[in-house]
Amino acid sequence: MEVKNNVFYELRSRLYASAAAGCSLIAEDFRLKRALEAFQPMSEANKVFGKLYAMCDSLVKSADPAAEIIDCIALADALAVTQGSFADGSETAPVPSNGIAMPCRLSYNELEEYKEKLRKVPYTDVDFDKRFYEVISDPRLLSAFLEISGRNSTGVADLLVQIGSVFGENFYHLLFNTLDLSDKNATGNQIRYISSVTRERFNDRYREYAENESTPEGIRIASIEAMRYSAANEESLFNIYSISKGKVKSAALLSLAALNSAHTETVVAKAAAKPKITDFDLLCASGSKAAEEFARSELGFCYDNLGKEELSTHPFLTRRFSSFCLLGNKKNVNDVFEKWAARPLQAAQLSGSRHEGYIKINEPLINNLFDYDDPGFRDMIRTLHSRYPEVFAPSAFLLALIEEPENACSKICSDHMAHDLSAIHFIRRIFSTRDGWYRIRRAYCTTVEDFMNIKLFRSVPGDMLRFLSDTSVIYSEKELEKKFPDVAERAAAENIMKQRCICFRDLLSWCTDEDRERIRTAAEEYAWAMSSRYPCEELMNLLPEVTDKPLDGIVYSYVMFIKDKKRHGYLYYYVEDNGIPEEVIVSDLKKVLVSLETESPDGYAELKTTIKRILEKHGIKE
Amino acid sequence: MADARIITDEFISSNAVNSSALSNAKKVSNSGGFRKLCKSADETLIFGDCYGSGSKPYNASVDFSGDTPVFRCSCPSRQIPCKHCLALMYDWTAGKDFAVEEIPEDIARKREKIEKRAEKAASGESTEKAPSKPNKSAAAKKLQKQREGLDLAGSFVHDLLANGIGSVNKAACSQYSTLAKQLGDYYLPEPQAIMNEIIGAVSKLSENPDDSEANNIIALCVRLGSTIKKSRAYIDQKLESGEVLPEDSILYEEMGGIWKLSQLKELGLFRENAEILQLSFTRIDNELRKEFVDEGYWIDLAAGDILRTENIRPYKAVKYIKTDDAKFDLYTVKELCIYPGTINRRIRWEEAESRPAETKDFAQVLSKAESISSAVKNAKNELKNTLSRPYAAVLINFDSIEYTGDGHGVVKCGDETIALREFNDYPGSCSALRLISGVLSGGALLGGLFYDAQQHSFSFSPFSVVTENEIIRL
Repeated sequence: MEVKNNVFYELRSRLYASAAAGCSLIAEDFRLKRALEAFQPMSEANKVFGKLYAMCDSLVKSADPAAEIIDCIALADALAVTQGSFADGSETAPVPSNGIAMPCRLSYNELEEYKEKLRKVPYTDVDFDKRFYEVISDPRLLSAFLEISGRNSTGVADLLVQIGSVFGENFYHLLFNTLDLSDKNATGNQIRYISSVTRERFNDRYREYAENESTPEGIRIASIEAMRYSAANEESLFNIYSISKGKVKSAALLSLAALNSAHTETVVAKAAAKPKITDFDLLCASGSKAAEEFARSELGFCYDNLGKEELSTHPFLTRRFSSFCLLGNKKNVNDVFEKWAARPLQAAQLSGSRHEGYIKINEPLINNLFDYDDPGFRDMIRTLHSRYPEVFAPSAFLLALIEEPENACSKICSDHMAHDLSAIHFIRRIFSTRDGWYRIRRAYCTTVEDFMNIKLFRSVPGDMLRFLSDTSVIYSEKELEKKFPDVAERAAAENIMKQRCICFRDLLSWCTDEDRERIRTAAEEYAWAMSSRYPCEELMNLLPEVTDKPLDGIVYSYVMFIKDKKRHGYLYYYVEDNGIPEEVIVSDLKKVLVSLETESPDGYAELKTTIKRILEKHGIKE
Repeated sequence: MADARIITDEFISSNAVNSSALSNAKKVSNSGGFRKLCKSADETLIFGDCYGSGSKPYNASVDFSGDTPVFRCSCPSRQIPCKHCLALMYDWTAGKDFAVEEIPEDIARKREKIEKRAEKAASGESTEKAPSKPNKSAAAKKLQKQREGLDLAGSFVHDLLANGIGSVNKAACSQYSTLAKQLGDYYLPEPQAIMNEIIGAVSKLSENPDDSEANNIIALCVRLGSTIKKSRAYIDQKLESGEVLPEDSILYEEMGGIWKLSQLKELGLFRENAEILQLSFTRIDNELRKEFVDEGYWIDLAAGDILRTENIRPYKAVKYIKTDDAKFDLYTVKELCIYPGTINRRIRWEEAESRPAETKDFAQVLSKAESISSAVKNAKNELKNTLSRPYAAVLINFDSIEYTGDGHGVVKCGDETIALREFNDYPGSCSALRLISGVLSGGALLGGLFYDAQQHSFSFSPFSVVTENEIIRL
């Protein structure tokens, strides 16, 4: 039928082409004429075709073809529609149920609101309410999410983790089944996410994608990265490494190194002998003897040359790298850790501050906990912490959170000054997922490079709340000066107070509904204790959020606290956008003005102007 | 008589003009915008004072004493209900304290007036104006004017086809745009819209030449040309016969005429006590015509035909026209007015009662679904008309939906098959259908049948799935 009708379709398309080109010269359009001649036999077989032929014949002879061509095209279109077939004989197969998609009753406005949010996720911070996770199973929303699930964005990465926690096992299959293998630019982030949760469980799928050269590069690389979780992949990875180039080759080498494969020994030894910046990841990932020796000598060199000229030009000591990361995935390097820990200020010198120094030296130990499910690495932390509790408190705290979360704070944070910051640092990395679990990330947010997290507990331990609401860490400014004559120590003590406020706000933003009231109560207790002795900006953010009690005097205390600190520029922000009632702001600021006038009639000019401006905004003029 | 207790979040959303009004109202409510919240003793009135950008507070109220809630506010917004009335209702649902107070004098006076009007109506004294008699001479004048306008539009199409779309440069585009503007003076909004669409497409084409886009422009020209030709004949015949009032013809709308419900009723274009159920709903953003269209497809449970609601909201007036939304209930419409046409006729109504749709209703819908071949046959009859819409919405039976190696879906029903395709007005519908296809064991699919000129075949774009227990929107 199709072949038989070809002459008709040719005529129709010639009519369109003539109309588009302009039909004033249609009489000279030999292509149209040729198509018409070819159509002529067909026109004899059918009355309507005959009519079309007659109309087209008249068209090519017409003095005003523009007037006639519309009728010719209209008839040709009508005939084309009438001739149209509909059967699709392609070979098909049913799609098995994914066990997730479940239609929900959503108004169009609701649906569009959620879809719009999903469209925005890759570009900006978006808040999804509780209902979103209840209705995400709706196929319209689910498909909208799957469409963006491979995008490079922290928001998308976070959504993958959250939605994955809602659907569990079925979600991984769905992600695999909806991977777009025809998209050359596919990132394969979905595979990074799946492997971070399930490790080697889907190894067959990873191998399938990794070994197939026609797989889009992004998906292939993500699959090769995922193959690092199973030692059974060594030969396959080596084969890929041997026959590939560029990013694929590098990914295969890194995965082999992470598996401590003997195949990488020569390459690692070569890299260690003549290190280049591009070899840094390989030397960090490898647990081989050569990599171990290199890490030992590299950190030894750093240790010996701290403060010297050589160090500033050393390849791995630029801001991009932390030399301590070279100790990752290596078991026999306790001596290196201990050497640095014995003189902790050395670590600080490599990083900037003492606390930061501790975090840096702990980084490889922490990474080992996330990347390798190996009890050897846990023992390593225990040994190091028992010898140098202050230095290895960060990794010991993370390990305690994993192993005995109900006692982690009381076990590790026996001495406030040394350990509190480390603990708070980690508590701020905790988040909750929709399945009711609290988990900890390696960093403050999930990223497409790092979906890794560790399941911790289902309810915030009382021990943690007791630690955070410990009011014995609160000092007034005068007390601080007296107790901590050393400026750095005083700054650390101040920071500990402030960080608790920030940490409480973080906790409240991600805690489960069941825990909210407990956390709020603890935060309120701590915040009121702070308000009387150290009413800083962090407190101004926290207190109105956690208390129902009258806030009279809070603005007054805050302004009097900052009046000599040159932080007036932020006054408006901390006073106005915190939910403090207008009447409190107005009456407190009036009192402040009176106090400032009394204290120094000519002083605090800038502060007084700022306060007057705020009062004016509330309709109060002098 | 209803009272404020009927206020729920759904009630508020259903009365809001659009979603931004709702979110603005939520902001007002959450930030404690109302300084004074009051209610009448019988809770038929809630009112309050809200501070806005004006120097005085706005007096917002929601009155339930009549048949329908009355929203009043002293703010300058033209939206009814405005964000203040909506915020007042949000405050009510949030359980905030409403002090019992006397009904304000101005509201009491307004209530009195309404009551008097209702009493008059009850006693038989009609308060509504008697329907105005159609002015035949005005209608004839309008037709003559339209006839002139059609000549103008005709010259545009003629020029374009004679010289080719490649000949239209920027200067010509601006000349044609002026011409299109003039068509507004000739009561021809629809041809004007098509003309604007052609001009827009032609100017885009000159930036990115593309054969298929050129064919689309020619198709639009053919549509406009056919409209002009048929409309001329229609007007000539009407002027000759002297029967100048609108009749049961799609040409009236095609020229841009707007049907009044009374006109449709006069022509007998209505069904009594029709039971209708919405099968799908979408919102179309027509940039070329600068309007949003809230489009719903419905089924008349008795007749089984697929009908269409259209809520057209020009960009300019979008703030003042209430958005439509998906409807899940079954509506019993006293007088369902139906526009002229053959399939997917547009419907409107004034009064309707609703109840939740039940299994028997879904069974009734399923019984009205047709085979693929029958649907295609009907669609062919519709689509071969140059004045038809680009697709026909049909309800077809299916046994299963399966997928090919290249990923496209195929609807299967007995021996019949048809390929699925994505349609811009229902973005993501094919992907959504694929996600649930594994659990579907037959039913009916509502969707659009399209003719694909490149493939010389029909394909189907799914809008929703009807099963024994539910309607799954895609």
